[in-house]
Amino acid sequence: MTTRPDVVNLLRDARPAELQPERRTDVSTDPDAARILARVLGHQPTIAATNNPLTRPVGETVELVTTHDRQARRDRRRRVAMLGAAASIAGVAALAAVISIRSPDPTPVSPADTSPIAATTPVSTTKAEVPATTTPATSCGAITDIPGGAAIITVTGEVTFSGTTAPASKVSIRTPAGYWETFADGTGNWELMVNLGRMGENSSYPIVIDCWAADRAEPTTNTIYSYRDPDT
Amino acid sequence: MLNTSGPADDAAFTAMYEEHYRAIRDYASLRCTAAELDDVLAEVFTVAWRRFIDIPQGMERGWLFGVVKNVLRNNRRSASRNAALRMRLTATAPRHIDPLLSGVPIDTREQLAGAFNSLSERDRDVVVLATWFDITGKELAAALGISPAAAAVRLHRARNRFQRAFDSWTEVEPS
Repeated sequence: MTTRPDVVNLLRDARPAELQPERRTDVSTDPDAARILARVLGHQPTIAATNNPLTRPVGETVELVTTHDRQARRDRRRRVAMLGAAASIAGVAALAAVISIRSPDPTPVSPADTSPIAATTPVSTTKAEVPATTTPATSCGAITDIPGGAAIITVTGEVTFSGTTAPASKVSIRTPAGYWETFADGTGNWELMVNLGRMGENSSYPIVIDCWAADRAEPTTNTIYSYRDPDT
Repeated sequence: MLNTSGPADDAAFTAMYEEHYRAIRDYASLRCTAAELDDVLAEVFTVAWRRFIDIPQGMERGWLFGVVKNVLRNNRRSASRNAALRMRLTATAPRHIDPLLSGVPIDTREQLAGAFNSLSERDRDVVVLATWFDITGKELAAALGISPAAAAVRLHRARNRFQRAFDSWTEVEPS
């Protein structure tokens, strides 16, 4: 009399070699794993060890780079103070950001250089410490390529709480090329001049947009966009 | 019980990633092409990062298996809207196993492969998770998005169908 083989045990014996019981993976020695982890976290593994701004704590370094003159900056500071008071009263909760990039100089840009970039679909959306009673809504508008690397990023952000909408207080942008932040102009619109630099062929920029509420030490929303420069 | 660390806790997330990356990669590699694997894994772990505080503690692997299935399902839906993509996304079910199975006695290899390949996609998935990934009942439930009791029933039935197919499988000789 023969014993009927257990098919599940047979299948277990047939496990392919590449699926042998898992071992703890050291991502620092597994380039595939490291690359994917860096992509998830919004880091660039090739520059992570060289003072990559993306690895700095949020808000650690402030480098305000705008094209506005001193008077405009004073106006902005005054509006920030007003906004901060309004935002605190509103009990800031959720933020929405619409981002677009346009050329920093008035020189007409050829149509080929202004085509929307399909690859700017967010690779990650909202992650943040947000009051449990709120739902942050973050969306990204069209991003237009800028030749030369420099760009002005215009961000529009709103804070919504209990049906009341107000401009967010601050927006910061982190890219492999640097960190920028600016304060509200009172209308919920910001302009930041950034230099995205050149990452080389077949590379993409992680652009992290942090929106800040006036009374919080951490950004309320944190959105990552993957921006591929079609010029490279 | 949920993870208490927030999504911004990169160290905790990285620890989870290191713990489960290999299993998730292996599972995903059974269900998508090599060209898609990086994108699928990145999407899976991006979801995990975004929802890190929602992942039941101790159930991370099962939860991630479930995310793999959802990501692939979404990819397949997208593919249905794009004929060109559809041509590339043909392997969303666990792949059929090769009759030349090195770890199985020669006289049962064809029989095992035939029985396995005769199962439905859902049964193949459950059987593979239980045998090749040594998944626990609770992890299987998390992966399937159903209760542990329902997961146990599904696995039991899949195993029975697999065993019956194995017992009754006869190779069809080519004419």
